[in-house]
Amino acid sequence: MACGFGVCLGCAAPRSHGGFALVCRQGPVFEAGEIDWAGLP
Amino acid sequence: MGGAAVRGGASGAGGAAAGGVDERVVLAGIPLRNAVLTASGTFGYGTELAPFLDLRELGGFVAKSLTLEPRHGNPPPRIAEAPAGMLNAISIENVGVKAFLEEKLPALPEGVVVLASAFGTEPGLYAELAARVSSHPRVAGIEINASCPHVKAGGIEFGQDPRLLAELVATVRRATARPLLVKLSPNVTRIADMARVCEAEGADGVTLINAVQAMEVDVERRRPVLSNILGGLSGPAIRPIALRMVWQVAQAVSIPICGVGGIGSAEDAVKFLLCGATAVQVGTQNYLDPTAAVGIARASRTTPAGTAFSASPI
Ligand SMILES: Cc1cc2nc3c(=O)[nH]c(=O)nc-3n(C[C@H](O)[C@H](O)[C@H](O)COP(=O)(O)O)c2cc1C
Ligand code: FES
Repeated sequence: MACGFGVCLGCAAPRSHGGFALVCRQGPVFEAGEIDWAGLP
Repeated sequence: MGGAAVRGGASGAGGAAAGGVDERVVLAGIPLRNAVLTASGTFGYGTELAPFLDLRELGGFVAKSLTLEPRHGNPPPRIAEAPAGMLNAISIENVGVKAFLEEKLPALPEGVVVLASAFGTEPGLYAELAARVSSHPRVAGIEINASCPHVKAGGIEFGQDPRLLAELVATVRRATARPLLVKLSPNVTRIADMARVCEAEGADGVTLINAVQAMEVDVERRRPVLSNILGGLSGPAIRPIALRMVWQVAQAVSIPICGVGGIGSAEDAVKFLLCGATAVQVGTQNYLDPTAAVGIARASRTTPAGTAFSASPI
């Protein structure tokens, strides 16, 4: 996490329905079904 | 070498009297309150930080690079730590030009100077984007991102091939009458040649440098850290490279230069001005300290280091 306020886009986690969520702004806690776990490193 | 004013640059000379510095800076035809901007991709759309900072204290800010359609970036990991800097391979994730014009720009306070950054995979797409953002009164100028080091198509290809760069700049130039800066890639053998091409094709200024192409390796997993394998190195690690390139470009062209790369303090910013830049952009340092750019902008007016903001280049 480089910035922590949504400007670097470095903390992206893949969403199960496409696109990415920002962990710093939209997380850090997510509904488990919202995240594409297989797409995480 | 001529003074900054000869380069259409900082109008510092006349205002340095009585301990003050002339705050008026004109970059490529864009009047700025001071010489300190924030770099594309490091300050979002301004809206993220607007609640906490008075963005009007900045000379201006360059918004995240835009594409015509919204775009998702690379899968994670997108960033990695590096000695005195970081690597990124975000790949121009952005909301697209429509949302930028209709949602992001109107949400910014009046008086904030906004430059739009254009990205595309072919000149026509850059030109269409430039034309779209030019129609908005809040866009003070356009920066062409001809230098993203980690997108598979577009960006760096244009910044590395002088013929492609010439075609890109000429095409965008025809599409907009707004002040036009071209952001150059450091991943070339002769940066001055690239700047000359921009000048010849009608650019009003050049911004340099974008991130330096790089990679990092995870030894335990025996693979590259970034999903994209290649990324761009930014931060203090690249500052001496950026200074060298700004100096070389200043020797080669008479259009103004906006210097970027590893700036973390007013003193760093002054180094770029001394190498021939008219203005500077703060990038990676915004992540460490979101108030950094505003602090440097203030210093450009009020501290002893600020008096050097009106110095003639070396
Ligand atoms: C996470 C990240 C995202 C970036 N995104 C963009 C971008 O969208 N467009 C662009 O022209 N430059 C982009 N840059 C490059 C910066 O604007 C700047 O040129 C570079 O980081 C060097 O300056 P610095 O060392 O002060 O960060 C990005 C840099 C980082 C670290
Ligand atoms: S950490 Fe920078 S966008 Fe989330």
